[in-house]
Amino acid sequence: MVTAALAGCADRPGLASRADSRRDVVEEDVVRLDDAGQPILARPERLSVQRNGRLIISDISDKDVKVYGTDGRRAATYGRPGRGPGEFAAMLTAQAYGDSVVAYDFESSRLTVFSPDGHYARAVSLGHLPFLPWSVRVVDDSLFLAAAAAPGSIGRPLLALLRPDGTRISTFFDPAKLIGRSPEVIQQTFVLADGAHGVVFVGLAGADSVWAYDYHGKLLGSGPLDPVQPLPTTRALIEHNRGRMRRPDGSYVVDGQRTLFSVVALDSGSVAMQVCERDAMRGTDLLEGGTLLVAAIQLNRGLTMVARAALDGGLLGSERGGAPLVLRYASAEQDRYAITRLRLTTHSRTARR
Amino acid sequence: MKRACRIGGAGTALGLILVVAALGGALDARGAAPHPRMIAARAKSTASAQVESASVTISGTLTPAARRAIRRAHGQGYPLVIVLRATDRRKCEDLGRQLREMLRVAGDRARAVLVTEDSAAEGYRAFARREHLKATIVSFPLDSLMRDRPRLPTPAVLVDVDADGRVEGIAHPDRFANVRSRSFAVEMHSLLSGDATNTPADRGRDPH
Repeated sequence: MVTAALAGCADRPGLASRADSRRDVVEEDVVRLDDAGQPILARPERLSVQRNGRLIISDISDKDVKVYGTDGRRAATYGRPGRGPGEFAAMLTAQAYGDSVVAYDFESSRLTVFSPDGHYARAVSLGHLPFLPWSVRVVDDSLFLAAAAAPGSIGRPLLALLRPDGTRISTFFDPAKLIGRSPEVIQQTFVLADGAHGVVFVGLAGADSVWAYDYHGKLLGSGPLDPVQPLPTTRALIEHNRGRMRRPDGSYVVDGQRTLFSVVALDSGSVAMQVCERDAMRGTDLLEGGTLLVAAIQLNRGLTMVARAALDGGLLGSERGGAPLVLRYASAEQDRYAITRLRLTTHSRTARR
Repeated sequence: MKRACRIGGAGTALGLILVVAALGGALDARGAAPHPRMIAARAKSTASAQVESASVTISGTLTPAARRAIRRAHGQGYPLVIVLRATDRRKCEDLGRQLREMLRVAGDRARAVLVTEDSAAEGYRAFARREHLKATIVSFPLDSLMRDRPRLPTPAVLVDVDADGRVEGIAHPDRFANVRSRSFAVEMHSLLSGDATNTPADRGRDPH
């Protein structure tokens, strides 16, 4: 099913002259998840694929890692709530790491590695980093990417590329000038980053841009998150409201605003992102969908959008081959899940029309 | 490339304190629902010994108006009554997991009613959907929920133990960061398993 491609971009001179860069987005069903009578996935955060094809999903509410076979049936659960080895008090993410799994606990600033058979293998402390890591991504079998919780680390680099033993290769990305110093803005702005194939992509929830760096922290390019429908920045919204987060009627300036919620690095210097309307009153559920944006680094052009489509579900990860993976509800009661692969194909004029 | 010029350079180092403040409570105090990935990111842990003594045993009787409201929503039978104030879902990172676990332990008997203030009902409807909690949401002024107990500590889970509206249960009014080692399911096991003649397994302090 062709969903969309760069709606509204045809009149942009730059893109029109580079038709080969545009992509259509095709959804392909991968599998329906079956928890086989065990507690279902509660709050999925990240979806990744092991070398052996098993699907790894971090569950930040259950504080464990749910493992599914290629047929979608629950194969195992790694970790549990707690503060001991292999336990998590505040598990913020987990990902496939070869045939193993690595999970990050914010409270202990600790990466836990589970062996391919699901047993606790080792832990790596990230307490030595210049910031308190809030997210850790597996870049490849030999690199992790740690991202700070932006607020407290303003004025310092917010990203660190790490070896598997936790030692630093590089630190970079300081958005202090962009965010400013208002605590109201800082508390509503944070980093979303992912890396693959030599490129680290980073965006800020609450900002309107995306940046690409190499592994040494050299800027490769940047661009607007959504050139078709530019995102409002939290800073502008708050400044427009005389420096306050809440309006006189008690509502929040960020409520209902389109915000970056997910960044997934793909292959060939491209990145997939999900933008959703933020619900500041009830909370935002990524799985209820939003807008998919795909950008790619182009010579002398920085980051350029190559695809834009409506997204049914949450962009939570990618296959080992680089295709974005989406987790979506498969029932009206939201108690069943299915995984969809997004294939980016050469732009077809027919599809665009 | 112009946008890249907007970043970089030195800014003010606000330090770790602000990280903890922002993740641990400032967003909550502000009231805006945080970005989903912020929800689990909270302040550092609390000593487990404190957790052990922080549960409050609840024993009392629902007011007639509360019983009517719950019966209307729930129908017949003895429901599990979850009582939550607006701030509970923001201050308790472990609430969804604990309530799911409790409903699992209670099994088929767990026809749950989630009672909250009118202003918070919509938020808890979304919370229950996201956290996969099968509970009917009931709006009711919480200060009128129980006889002689205008300030019921929350979050609380009450089991309706007889037809006269007598309830027993547990409340967790003290906030513990990230994960609570003693859960509703553990503390209320005897009540949840259907042996309503027992009081909650481990009585704690009761400020009333």
